[in-house]
Amino acid sequence: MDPSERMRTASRRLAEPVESMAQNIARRVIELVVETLDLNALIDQIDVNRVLDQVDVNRLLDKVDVNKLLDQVDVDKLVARVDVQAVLNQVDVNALASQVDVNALVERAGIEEIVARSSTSIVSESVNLVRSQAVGLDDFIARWVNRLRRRGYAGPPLLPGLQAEPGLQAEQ
Amino acid sequence: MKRERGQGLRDHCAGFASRFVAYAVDLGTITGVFMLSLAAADYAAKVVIGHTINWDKGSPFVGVAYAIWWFLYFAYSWAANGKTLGAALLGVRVVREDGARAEAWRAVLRAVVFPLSFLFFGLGFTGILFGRERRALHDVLAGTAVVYTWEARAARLRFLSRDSAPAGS
Repeated sequence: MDPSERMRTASRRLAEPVESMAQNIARRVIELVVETLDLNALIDQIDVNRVLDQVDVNRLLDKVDVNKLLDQVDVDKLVARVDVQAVLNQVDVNALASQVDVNALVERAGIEEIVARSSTSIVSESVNLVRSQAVGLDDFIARWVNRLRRRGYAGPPLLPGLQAEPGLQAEQ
Repeated sequence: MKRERGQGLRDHCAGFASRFVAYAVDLGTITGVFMLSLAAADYAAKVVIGHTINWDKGSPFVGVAYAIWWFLYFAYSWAANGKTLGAALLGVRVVREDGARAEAWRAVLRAVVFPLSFLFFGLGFTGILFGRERRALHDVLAGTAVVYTWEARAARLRFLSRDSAPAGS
């Protein structure tokens, strides 16, 4: 056998155990390094803000499919976990109310117009009520007068100069 | 004059209650405005000449002034549009006996003869109760009548809901 061929065969035989041993050594070294390292102390030394400054968030967000993300969110479950009472307790209602422009709100809602309209309606209804009562009383008096005169009553008379609508006269 | 469809009681002769309430409103208005005028004149005299005027309600001057104001109020209102304040509130109007608008001279005449209806315990007003066209003495003398000017829908419905007596009046 060629001496060089013999050398190649021997090295092939040795390669496998050597490689295995090297992997074991490396694994052991990593374990020893990790055990030795204090990761919390290491993280403390990292300036996160500086890291974040280097991140282009917009570019990152462009890559995010928000709709797909939202589809995976169970909103009901999320809302159920929110303590609404606690949130409300933190709201300063007085401060919130002081920021509200009531005049602008009233103007936008047209409340003045609604009040004016309802006032007009009340006056109109009142006038109609007075008139209706008076007409009812007119009929009542006329009915009794005609009863005393032994005559029937067919409603208020129409002036002779005015020609009554046929339907209306039949109604009377 | 052809009546339009759906007018309800419009152009029908107004009854005693409507006319009486309208007159009561007018009388209250006339008296109230007159009293205010007296008070205003009193205040003006106090400011200008420094003396107050003690109006004697029974004095002829106050009586005549009231009568003139009463006459002007009615004559002007009827001549202008056939309505006083009370008539407008009660929805009645003075018209000519044929239903047309009353002329100014007729309105003035009506105001002149209006007091005649008060004579003999208001005998002149009995025509409103018993007359065919519900006309008082001053209506007959001035050739006028008083009619409803509104549809009176609510009253009409109430009227129709009653058991009406057979027609024949």
